[in-house]
Amino acid sequence: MSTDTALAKRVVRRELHSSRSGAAVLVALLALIATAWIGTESVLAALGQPALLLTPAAMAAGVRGLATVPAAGLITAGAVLVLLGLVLLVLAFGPGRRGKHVVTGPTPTVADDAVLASSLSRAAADAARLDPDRVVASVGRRTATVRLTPTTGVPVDRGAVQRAVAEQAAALNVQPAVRARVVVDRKGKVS
Amino acid sequence: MNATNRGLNRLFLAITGLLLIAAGAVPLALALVPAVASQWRATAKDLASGAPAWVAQPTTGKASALVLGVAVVAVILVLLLLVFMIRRGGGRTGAAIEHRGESGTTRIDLAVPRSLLEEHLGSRDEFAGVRIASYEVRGTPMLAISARCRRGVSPAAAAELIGRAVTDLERILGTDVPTLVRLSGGFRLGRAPARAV
Repeated sequence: MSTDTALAKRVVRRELHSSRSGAAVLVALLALIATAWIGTESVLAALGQPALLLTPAAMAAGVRGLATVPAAGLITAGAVLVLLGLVLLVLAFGPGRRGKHVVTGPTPTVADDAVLASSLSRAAADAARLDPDRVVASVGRRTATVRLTPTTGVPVDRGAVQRAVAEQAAALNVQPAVRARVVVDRKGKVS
Repeated sequence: MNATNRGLNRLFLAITGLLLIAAGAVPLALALVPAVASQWRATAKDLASGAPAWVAQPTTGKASALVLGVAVVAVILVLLLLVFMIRRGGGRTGAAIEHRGESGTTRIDLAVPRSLLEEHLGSRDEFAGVRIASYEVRGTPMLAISARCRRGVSPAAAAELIGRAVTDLERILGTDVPTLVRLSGGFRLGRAPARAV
């Protein structure tokens, strides 16, 4: 329709990926607390006041004495720090995809995966003549699983459900397209 | 679609991650490489006995020049981190359309599409709620239509419905309306209540 394509691409891309604001704010908050503490200790030392936890001189002595700490403690501390660093690097460079799909059409549209799942499970419930609460669907990036719990003694026509779900999956019109798999629970439930 | 600087978020995470890895490498090297440990001990001894004046001699109170420098750097860092934490989100505007022409600027307030679209779409059975907002994206306002779909509604059908409403809106306003549609909901919202006929 009317939305400028470069603009549309940009907002859709931002919609599909996490902004990483939560992680960044949390890390910034921890860094802020740590630097504020070091700053406060420095100022207290300059004013000749007693320290909150450690004086700067004690911190320096601690760093100097690092080589005398037992190896097990050093390795544990080092490994924890390196691991935390790796987690942050993964957050920084990972794609951070959110559970959403683009709905192709003239207006840029992004739908939560829950909406796709709900629509697939409705198609399955209608085809199997089951209560909608008996159908659960989950949607990934390219695949979807629809799970039915039949009523005891009433067989479900799996082929018909599979056809209905495949048809609905195609009609979702989403990018990337999802392929749906239908699972019928072996054990039924008495309604 | 807010104005958060995502590149900056990722850059900050990457830098902190690298710093943490570097900080973790020090104790690991001390524990695992004997040469590093002995060098560390030797340097520590030198520093403890004869440190330069700016490290050891108190200039103010009990603080040396080094400690004062650390305090200044800490204050600057705290301010930078505060600014970084506060400056996220944003980008919302009260305008739905803004055209800058030679003879002046035409501005259509967000209230216009909001009342038209909310009235039109809010009455549909497919949606449990519709919210209209406007964000400034690269200098132009862009409409964000967030619809909560009821259980079982096809996203394609929902997108088409909203797309048609936007086309109608454009016809009424006589101009293009850049729009992003967000569909949420699904399972947690029941089907539309049955109505007696």
